[in-house]
Parts: sequence; C-alpha cells; structure tokens
Amino acid sequence: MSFIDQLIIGFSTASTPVNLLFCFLGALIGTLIGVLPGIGPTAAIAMLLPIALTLTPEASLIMLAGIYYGAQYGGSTTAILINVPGESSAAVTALDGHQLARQGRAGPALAVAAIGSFFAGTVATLVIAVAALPLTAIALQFGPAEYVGLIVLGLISSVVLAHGSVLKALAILVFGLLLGLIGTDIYTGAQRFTLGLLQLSDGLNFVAIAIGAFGIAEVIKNLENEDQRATIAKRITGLMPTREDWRKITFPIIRGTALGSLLGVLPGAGAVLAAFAAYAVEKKLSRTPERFGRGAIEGVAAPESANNAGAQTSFIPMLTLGIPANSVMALMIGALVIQGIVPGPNVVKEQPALFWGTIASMWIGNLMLLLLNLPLVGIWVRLLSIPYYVLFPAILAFASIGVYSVSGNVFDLITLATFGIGGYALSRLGCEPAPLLLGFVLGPMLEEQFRRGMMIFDGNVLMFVQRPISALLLGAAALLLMGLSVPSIIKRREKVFSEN
Amino acid sequence: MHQSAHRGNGRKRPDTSNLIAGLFFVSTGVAFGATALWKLDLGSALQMGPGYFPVVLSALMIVLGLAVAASGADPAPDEVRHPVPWRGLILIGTAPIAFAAVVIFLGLAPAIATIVGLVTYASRRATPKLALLMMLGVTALSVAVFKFGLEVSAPLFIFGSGG
Repeated sequence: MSFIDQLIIGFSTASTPVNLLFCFLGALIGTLIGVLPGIGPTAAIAMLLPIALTLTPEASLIMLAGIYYGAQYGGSTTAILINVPGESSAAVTALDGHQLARQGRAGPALAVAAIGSFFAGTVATLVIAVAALPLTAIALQFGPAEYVGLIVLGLISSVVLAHGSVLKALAILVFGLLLGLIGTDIYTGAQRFTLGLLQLSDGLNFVAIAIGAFGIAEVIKNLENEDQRATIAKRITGLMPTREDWRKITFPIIRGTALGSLLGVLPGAGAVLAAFAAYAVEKKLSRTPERFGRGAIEGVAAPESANNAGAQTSFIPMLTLGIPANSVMALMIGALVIQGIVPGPNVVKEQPALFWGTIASMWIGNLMLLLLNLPLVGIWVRLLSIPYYVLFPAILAFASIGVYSVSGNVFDLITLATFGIGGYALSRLGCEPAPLLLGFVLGPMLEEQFRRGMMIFDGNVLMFVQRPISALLLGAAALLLMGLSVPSIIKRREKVFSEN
Repeated sequence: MHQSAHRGNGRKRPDTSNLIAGLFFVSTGVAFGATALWKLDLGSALQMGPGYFPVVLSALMIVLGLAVAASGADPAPDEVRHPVPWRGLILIGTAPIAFAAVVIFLGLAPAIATIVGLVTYASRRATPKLALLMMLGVTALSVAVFKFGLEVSAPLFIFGSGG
C-alpha cells in the first residue's frame, strides 16, 4: 500500500459526516477543558470514555484524540490572557504570552500560538504517517521478550513523568500492576483477588478507576482552595501578527515543531518537556535573549509549536506498538481494548480505516481548531467566568451516569467512589495517579508476555536480556531508572552522613 | 542547598506522608502477597501458575514500601499545603453510592437530582436556591444528553409498589 493510498483511506474515513462531527466535538470539548482550569485532558477524556464507547471505534478514537490536542490549543489561550495555563504544557507559553497580553498584544500572541500549533500539527501528522509503517514492520517481529522490554520501558517512563519521589511513583506503579491482575487468570481460569465477588471476576472497571482517580480526585483537590480563581476578562483587538512578527516566528516555529515531533515519540517525555526544551533553544539562539520573559513573540511560537507536535507524535508508540506514552494514551488503549481491538502492530493491517482515519482526522481537527480558536476567542474567554461551584456538581453527575451506563452495574459506582477518595488520599501523600493507571492497563499484558516468554525460554529469565532488542529496551529502562535515582541516592547518602 | 537548611525541617511539623504512604504500600503488598500464597497455585518458573506473578509483584511492592517509609520527610514543598476539604471529601465520596442506591429503586432522574443536590453542598458557597437550580438544570441536561441523546438503558423513573 503506497503512501497516497494510505492518505486516501485516512481522509475518506475521517471525512464521513459522522466522523467529522465527532472530530469537531472532540476539538470543541478539548478547547473547552483546555480553557477551564481545574479539569485537565486526562480527567475529561476519562469522563467521556463512556460516551466514546457507544460510538464506532473510529469515531471514538477520533473524538478522544481531538480532545487531547484541542486541550493544547485551549490551554494556551488562558496562559496568554490570564497567566493561568489551563493545561500543564502551556506553562511555558504563559511566560512571554502573558507579557504580550499586558502590552496590549494579546491578539497577535493568540494568533501566533494558533498558527504555530497548526503548522506543528500538520507536520506531526505527516511524521506519524511516514513513521508508522516501518515501526509497525519492526514491531511485528517482536516476540514476548521484546514486548516485555517495551512494556517495562513504557512503565518506567511513566515514572519519569510523575512529579515527586521516584520511589513513590514506582510503588504506585506496582500497585497499579497488582490491581490489573484482579479477576480471572487467562491461562488457568483461577479467580485472583476477587474476594469471592462475582463482580470482580472480570477485573476492576477501567472506566471507573480512571474517572475516580483522575476526575473525582481532582474535583476534591480543587475544593482545597475554592477562592483562588481570579478572572480577568480582557478585550482582544487586532489578531493579525505584524510583518515583523512573521519574520521573527518563522524559524522558531520550524525548530519547535522538529523538537516537539522528536521528543513526543519518546515514551514518557511528551509535550511538556518539548515545550520547555523549545523555549530554552530559542532563548539560546536568540541574539536578544534578554527579551525572553518580557514579551518575546518567539517565546510563544516555539513552545506552542513544540507542545502541539509532541502531543501528536506521542500517538506513535500507542498506534504502532500498543504502548502508551502517557496517561491519555493509556486511556485510549483502554478504550480500544473495551471495543475489542487489540492495540499493537496489527492495528495497521487489520484496521487500516481506524488507523489512517485517526491520523487524517488529526490534521482536519487542527484545521478546525484554527478556525474555532481565532475568531471565537472572545467566547472562550467568557467561559472563564463560570464559577467552579457550578461546574463540579455537573462533573460528578456526568461521571456517575457515565460509569453506570457502561455496565449497568452498581458495583462500578462503588469502585468510582473508592478510587476518587483513594486517589485524593494518595495525591495528598505525594503519589500521582498516572503510573497507577498505566500499570493497571499494562499489567495483564506484561504478565501474559512474561509467562509466554518463560515457557518459550525454558524458564530461563536471562533470555530476556540476551535478545538484542529486548536487551536494548530493558537497558534503556534501567538507565532511565538509574538516572532518576542517582540524585536521590546522593541526597540520602549526604543525609546519613550528616546525621552520623 | 546546604545540609543545615534541610535539617531544621523536621522540628517544626514532622511530615509523616512518606511514612503513611510507605505503610500503605507495605500492607497492600502483604495483603496481595499473602492472598496469592495462600489461595493461588505458584507453579514453577517454566510453567507459572496464577500466583507466581502476583507474588513477585507483592514482594517488590513491600520492598518499595519499606524504602518509601524509610526515606524520611521530603524537603519542604514549594507550594502551600491547604487543609483537607473534609466536607467536600465526604459529600463527593458518598455521592456515587447515593446515586447507586437511588438509581436502583427510583430511577435515573431522581438519582441525578440526588447526586447534584449532595455535591453542590461540597462547596462553601452553596445555598438552597443554588442547589435547587443546579438540580433542575443538571438533571434536565443529563437526561437530554444521556437518555435521549445516547439512549442509556436505565429507566428514568421507577414507580415502586409503595406508590
């Protein structure tokens, strides 16, 4: 199948009226939640999973993807206008973007953010299309050892993403893996950790866990300081960047896009890192670095391009290998699994319409976002004045109806409440929920591949590190882990030393 | 950065979060590990039984939990720690369960109204008027989206034998 054929399949799938509608809905919802602080893309996608599951696999993946990259656009709007990044990857944008807004240049800053994002989105879509086939071809050669390596690398990367202590992130990851094992053992049919409850024989409900740990826990957390939200409505006049602006942003956008596309592919790195790196690069290359932080338009263009490119190329490991690069991708994998699609290299071959349709929809979605965001920015800003005490009862209601409607099972509502409270308690203890969710999704896969591998290798664990690709992947995971723990080892040694 | 800067920390208000987190991990690991050892077949490395992988993970979790507990207090966090919003925590934590109870006996619409009414009071800004408006508004919206839009199968109202 040639490149052109793939694009034709993709665009013909993505441009059916239904899929266009859900692409638009996804982009719209994404922009909304990107603008509204207090609810991130992970929580929003978790809460929309029940709705997505009623759609065809294509429509649901297209919508969920739209929410994810839509949130990148929306997040930058609030970062620029009120210095509140609606979404973590927009934190860098706030540095210069808000300064520009204070100088009365909010319009051009918003326009540059949107144009940079659109350019990056277009390029990243092409990157995915080009990289997908060779990567899948490699992945098809993978045996159990390689899969174990890949999954371990993905899991360890999620630890990198988590804030705070590495040890706690690792422990929470293992907790997630264990939770994933609850239910019926696929090899023997034995009931594991079901406490004799029939409701647990299929395992814990993924949707309930995700909404509880991300959505509900987040709501409780936001109630810690209700009064914090300050809203400043600003009038925006004149969107078009000047000729001088265009000259300044051209190369930063291109460099940001390249950097973002590259970093996005690395599991765990993603959009946030890309944005920071792109900003740092521009500051270094600039002849006038002192302007950065005081309203340099390049300081908006580069990180915005980078985070959008990174958000999009982070689909590559998910689509080609079935390995999620972050918790949003874990949710999408969960959605695919529930719909009976096994994520991994076979998706391209068996579901070409799903695969290429999703990729093509990203470009269409980016175009929609450009049109949605620029002319309608005034409406988005007004949304900021919706008070949180009106929002969260609706969030709770939607979450409960959603969870209940997936299975019609009251037990899942108990799971939802438990993981809501538990997720909040763990976050108070400095443990983030992202590794838990990844562990939960990947736990069963890891066990299956590991057990299969041990059978093939006659019970010799060393075989996992003797095959070149898996050795490489496991080595990378080990390096990552060592790189993470070195500072803490040093710190602890110093501590012991000083207390002696 | 210097050592002495860290050491003063413990005296003011000992941060027990690592200790609590560590104990949680250890006890969870013990619970999973003991259940697996007691109830599940371990098998051998060649032919792993259903208990093998869980036991390995439980052991790993216990070790990590011990390490977390032993790691002492974190250096003072940059952000201010706000008090736990107990009222919100309790109301929001019980709301899905209240929803569950009402949806079985009375149907979807009363269940939505119940959860919205309860959760509105999680905010300190709640007033009876706001709660009533929210109940009406969110219930109408949810019924429109989920019942008529997505055709969720749960009945809107259940009229029990009592009336």
